[in-house]
This record gives sequence, C-alpha cells and structure tokens, in this order.
Amino acid sequence: MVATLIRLKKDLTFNAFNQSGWHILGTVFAGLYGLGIVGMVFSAQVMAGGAEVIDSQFIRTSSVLMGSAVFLLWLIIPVFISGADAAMNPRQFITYGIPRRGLILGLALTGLVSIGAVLTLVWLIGQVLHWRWDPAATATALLTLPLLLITFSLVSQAVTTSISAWLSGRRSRDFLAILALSLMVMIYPIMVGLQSAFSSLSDAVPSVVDFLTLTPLGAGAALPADAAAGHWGAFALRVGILAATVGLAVLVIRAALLKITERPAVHGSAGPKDAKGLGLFARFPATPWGAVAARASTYWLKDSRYGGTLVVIPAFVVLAIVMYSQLGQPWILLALGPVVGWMLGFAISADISYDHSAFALHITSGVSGTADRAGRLIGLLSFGLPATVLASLIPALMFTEPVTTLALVGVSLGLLLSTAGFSCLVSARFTYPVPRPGDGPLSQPSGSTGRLMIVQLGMLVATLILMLPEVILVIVWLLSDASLWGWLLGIGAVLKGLALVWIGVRLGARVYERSQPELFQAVSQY
Amino acid sequence: MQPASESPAALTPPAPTPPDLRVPALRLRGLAKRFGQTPAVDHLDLDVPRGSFYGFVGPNGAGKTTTLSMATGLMRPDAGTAEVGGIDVWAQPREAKQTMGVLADGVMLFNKLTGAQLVTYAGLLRGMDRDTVASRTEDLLRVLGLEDARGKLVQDYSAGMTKKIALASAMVHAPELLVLDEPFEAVDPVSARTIRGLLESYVASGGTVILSSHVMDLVQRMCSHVGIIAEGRLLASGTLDEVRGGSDLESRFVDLVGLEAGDQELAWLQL
Repeated sequence: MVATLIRLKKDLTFNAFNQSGWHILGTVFAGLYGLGIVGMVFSAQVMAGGAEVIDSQFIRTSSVLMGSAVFLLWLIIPVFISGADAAMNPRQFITYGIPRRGLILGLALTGLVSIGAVLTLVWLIGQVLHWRWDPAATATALLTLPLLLITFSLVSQAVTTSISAWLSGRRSRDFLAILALSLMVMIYPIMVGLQSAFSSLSDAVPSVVDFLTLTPLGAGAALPADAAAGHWGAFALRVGILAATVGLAVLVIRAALLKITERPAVHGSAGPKDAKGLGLFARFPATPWGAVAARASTYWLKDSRYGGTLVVIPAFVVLAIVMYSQLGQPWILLALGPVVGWMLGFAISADISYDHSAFALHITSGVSGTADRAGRLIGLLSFGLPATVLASLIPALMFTEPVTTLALVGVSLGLLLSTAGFSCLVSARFTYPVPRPGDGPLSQPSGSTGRLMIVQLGMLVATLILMLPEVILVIVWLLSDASLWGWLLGIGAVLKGLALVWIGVRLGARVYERSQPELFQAVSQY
Repeated sequence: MQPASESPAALTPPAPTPPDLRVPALRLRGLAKRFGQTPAVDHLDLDVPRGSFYGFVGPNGAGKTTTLSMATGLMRPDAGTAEVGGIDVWAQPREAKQTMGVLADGVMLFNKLTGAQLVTYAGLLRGMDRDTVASRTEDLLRVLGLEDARGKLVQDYSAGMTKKIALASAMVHAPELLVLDEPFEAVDPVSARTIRGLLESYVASGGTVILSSHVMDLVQRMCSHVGIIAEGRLLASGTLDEVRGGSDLESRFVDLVGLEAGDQELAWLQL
C-alpha cells in the first residue's frame, strides 16, 4: 500500500511535466532557486563545522534557528498549496477503503517525494557536517536525520489533512490564505517589533534560541548540541518533545482521516440569507455597464483571488510607515500613493482571465465592448479612487506642504487612471493564466509564472513610458522650485489619466468586440 | 480552408422586424471548424424551423458543442454562416444575440453571486430595466423551484440547481430561440421534469428550442424535430417521424452512426 502511494505520487509529479513547457521551466526555476539558497547554507554549515576554533555556542544557535525555520516552512507551505488541486489530497482516497495505518504512513512518506524534501535532506546532511568536530554530536545528527525528515513530513501531512478535514469550506480556506499573505507582507514590521522589544538583536537571540529548543520547532536541531555538551538530561527532554510531536501529528492525521472518510462533509446551507438580496446590483445603475460594475465590485469583496490584492494594500501601508519610522527615508511614504494607484490599475488586467468560462455570459448576451470595459473599470474605481487618495494623503499627515500633497494626489490618481485605462485596452486581447474560480489567491496555476512575469514586466515598462511627461515635470519642478510646476503636475496627471481611460475604454471596446471568441477560448482553458 | 461553395443561402438579408414565420429560427450553412488536422465540424447545414423543439443528437465528440458554440458566438467558425431569425450571428452579433438565449455546456457561472443576483445580472446585461428584471427573476425562481435558494451562492448549488439557474439566466430576456447544450446532463429526475415542463410551455407559446443531448429516449419524448450529427456531419434531419422512419430513434441513430464508423463502433454502442 505504502509503495503504491509513493508510486502514485511519483507518477503524478512526472505526469505534470507533460502538461506544458512552462511547468517544467517553473519547476526547474523554483528548484534552482531553492538549491541556490540551500547550497549557500550548506557551504556555511560545512565551513563553520571545520573552523580552526570551534564556536560551539554559535553552531548551536545557527542549528536551532535554521532547524526552526525549516520546520516552520514544512508547517506553512501546505497552507499555501492546499487548494483543490493538491496532488495527494486525502479526500481523494475516500472511496478506496485503504487501511488507515497504511494510509497515514503512505501519506507521510509521499511527502518525501518532493523538491522540498530533497532540499531538506541536503540541509540535514549539512547538519551532520556542521557537527563533525564532536563524535557524539555527529552520531546524534546522523541518527536524527531520518527521524527529523519523517517528523517534518508527518507534521506537514497533519496540517494538510486537518485543513482538508476541518477547514475545507472555501471561506475558511480563503481566510487562511489571506492570513498567510498578510503575514508575509507583515514579516518585516513583526521583526522590527521583536527587535525593539530587546535592546538589540544579538541580545534577543540567546533567549529566543533557548525558547525554541524547548518547542517542537527547535528541539530536534538542538539535540547534537546537547550531545556535544553532555547535557543528557536536556537531551532526553528534547527527545521527549520530538516524540510527543510525532505522536501528536499521527493522532491529528488519524482524527482528520476519520473525519474525512467516515463523516464526509455535507455541502450547502452556508451563506447569508437576506431576503431580497441583490446586494450591489441594487446600488449600481440598472444598465449593462452598471451591472458589470456591480458584478465586478461583488467579486472584489467576495472572491479571495481579488481579496488577496485588497488585503495587501493596507498591509503595504503599515509596512511603509514602519519602514519610514525605522529608516527615516521620506520617499518610502511618498511612493505609497503612486504604488497603490499602479497596483490597483494593474489589478483589472486579468479580469477576463478571472471570469474563466463564466465570461460566456457576456458573449452570449451580446454586451457591448464599451459596457464590458467601462463596467469593469468603474467597479475598480468605485473603491480604487478613494483608496488611492487615502494612500497618497498619508505623507501629508507627517511632513509635506500643500503643493506637494496636491501634486502627489494628482500623480497617484493619474497613475491609477493611466494604468487602468491601459489595462482596459491590453486585457481586451491578451490574457494570462490565473488561479481558477474557487481556488485561493495563492494557488498559482501551473506554468503561469513565466508568462505572468512577462506580462507584468511589459505593463511596468509601458506605464513608465506613459508616465514620462510626469517624470519630466517632476524634474523641472525640483530644478526650478516654483510651485506652479507642482500644480501643473498634479492637475496634468489627472487630466492625462482621464484621457487615457477614455482612449483605453474606446479602443479596448473595439478590440474586445473583435476578439470575443478568441478571448473566451483562451480563458476557458486556464 | 475553403469557404463552403454549397451555401447558396448565405446572403439572406436581415429579417424584417415582425418575425417572418418562414425564416428558420436558426439556420446554419456550411459551418466548418477544424482543430489542427481533425475537422470537428465539416461544412454543416442545419435548419431549425420556428416553433420547433429540436433535438440535436450525436455521440460524444461528434461536434455538437462545437456547432452550437459557433452558432452562439462563442467560437469563430473557419467557414460558413449562422443566422438567428435571418440575422447573421457573426456579421451583426449584437442584433442576433438579442433574440437568443444560451445555455452553454461545461461553462462556469459567476458562482460568487447568489442565484437571484445571477439572473438579475443576466437581465441587466441585456439592457432590460430594473423592474422587469426583478419581476421576471421572481417568476423564474418560483417556476424552477429555486425560491429557497435565491440567497445562496451559486457555488453552493447542486448540479441540478446549477443547470436550472443557468436556464433562468438564459430565459430572462424572453428570447425567441433557446440554444441549450446538454441541459439535462447530471440533472436529477425531479429537476429534469421541472426543466422539461418549462421548455414545453415555452415552445407551446411560440418559442423555439434547440437542445443537444445524447440521451435518445429523452429527445424522442420531448422533441418535434431531430438532427443527428456524427464526426462533424449532419447525417439526418427533419421531424421526429421522418428521421426515425417507423423504428425508434435509438436504432435509427445507431444505424446511421454505426454505418459511418463500421462494425467496431456499432459493437461498442450496442454494449
């Protein structure tokens, strides 16, 4: 049974490569990236372990920190990829009636058939070399190598299985993904906060490390240090912690599998039940473009693929304020408005891709190009305009004078409008793969990374060219120091943005009407 | 790909505003599409008379969905024309689509909307006014038995409910022609009966339906006209009695499709 499951995972992994060249490229790219990082870590481990004077305290610290980071990655990554398409979702085995013991073991071991496991193995071998100056520690590192690998895999499987068992509702999965996304953006402020809690980072490290060694995160990585120092009491304690972790992971997997196999979820009965319930459709005008705008805004609120973008923006603002307070660089705050404007303007460039085949409704009901383009644009602007203005006003609270504020608001709005107008035109012909409806914001479709990067790079270059007049005006303003140029910049940017929006919608509408069936065929493949 | 030379009716002028009863509700002439080297639809001619309940049947992969996609504007034909009430779908798409309601197969819905929102959306997209949309949405939800699920997101709907809400979205603007691709696929008998009742009363009141299916029994019970397609060609078409010619539709279908494909195919179909 275990062997069958492992073979299945192997086949699934390799078959995925046959789908598209982009997938191979993406995997190779990710693999090389991971290998690069692990390679650097590995050589550091080897060098530290072979130094003339061994700093055993340093080696313990680095071991524990690295070990905790690796453990954390094994914990977190399943949250990101536990979309509907996770290759070995335990739910898919319900119908086969596999003995539970075999399934648990099999699932845990299949977790080892992955790039992550290979990278982890390299790191663990590095650990052995890291401790090679002490026989007891070397032996411990060697003996704990398979143990740690299994532990990581089990814990990871426990996360996947319990997400599948108890958080399989879309709502909770979206929530998890958005939480993870905002955590990623917030990691810098969190670090800064931690740092300021202690007088300096190096003061904090020893107590953090000592704490980690008593948690499942760092216990395993600290074992060689105990062996080297002869702290056999602590050694036994940490072995106990590790064993308890493994035991708990197995119990969690078991309970989750029980939940999945013996009490399959009953669908439905979720969701709000307001009586008339037309939501935003009652707010926007009862016209085709109004309907498209209402639908687009509803999706911005309800679909986590859009919500992901929205959540990042406030996180971005907090990040910028924290960075400003740390570094004192005013441009960090000044850039906020234009960056938010650009991000939001770019956000509708994948709108039709996000519709997926539901876009058929627009075609079969003969919506005019103008109504489609303008509706999507207005849906975005209905919250994008206030959001951009707010973001560009933040520096005004701290230091800028009125003219600068006006220019900044103008440039931010201009950037939002220009990018949005440009998106209206480009997205009427070019699409790129995005997560499918119902997937989380983080589940990237296989093989999309390369194409996405090209599209984004193209958009960036195009916006830079579009913004050339503003750049020139900024330079003139800085050189001449006359506030007239500031006014000109602010007002000119908005006017130009409006013009580009108009052009984008008109041209986009024409392109859209010409290329509807091709658009539909493209997006329904994603 | 050469444009079809056997399509003399390709240049019919647009229909006069009061629908001419002699103009077919849907007329396909020389419609062709190939994917790579394989022709999916091979210069297909088809007339769906006004007021008919037309069953479009064929084995899987025969080109049903491709044909209907080209007739509804979802896929551009390599050659040929599609006319709805005399209006060319590809020359005057907006006018042609006004009188047509479409339920496409294997297509997602905007499933983050509630059922009521989705039907409202479909109505507003057609440019209808708010009050008409609201009252028709109510009626459709009631007739289709979806009143209790009106506030539920479409993503939480069952397969049968999903087909029903898609049908409601296709009918809200009271089209003259309904193009339904596999409307009964994965639908439970109760929902199927509801859908069937709605379609029958729609045809009785003068509407035209073309539906694709590979369930012969269903087509035989519901439809007044039948077209049989295999490998992208129309093998037989006409009224139900003309096509089945004394025997039942299924035997006739197997005869036709089997003859095209030889004994092996026949054996598989009769399993």
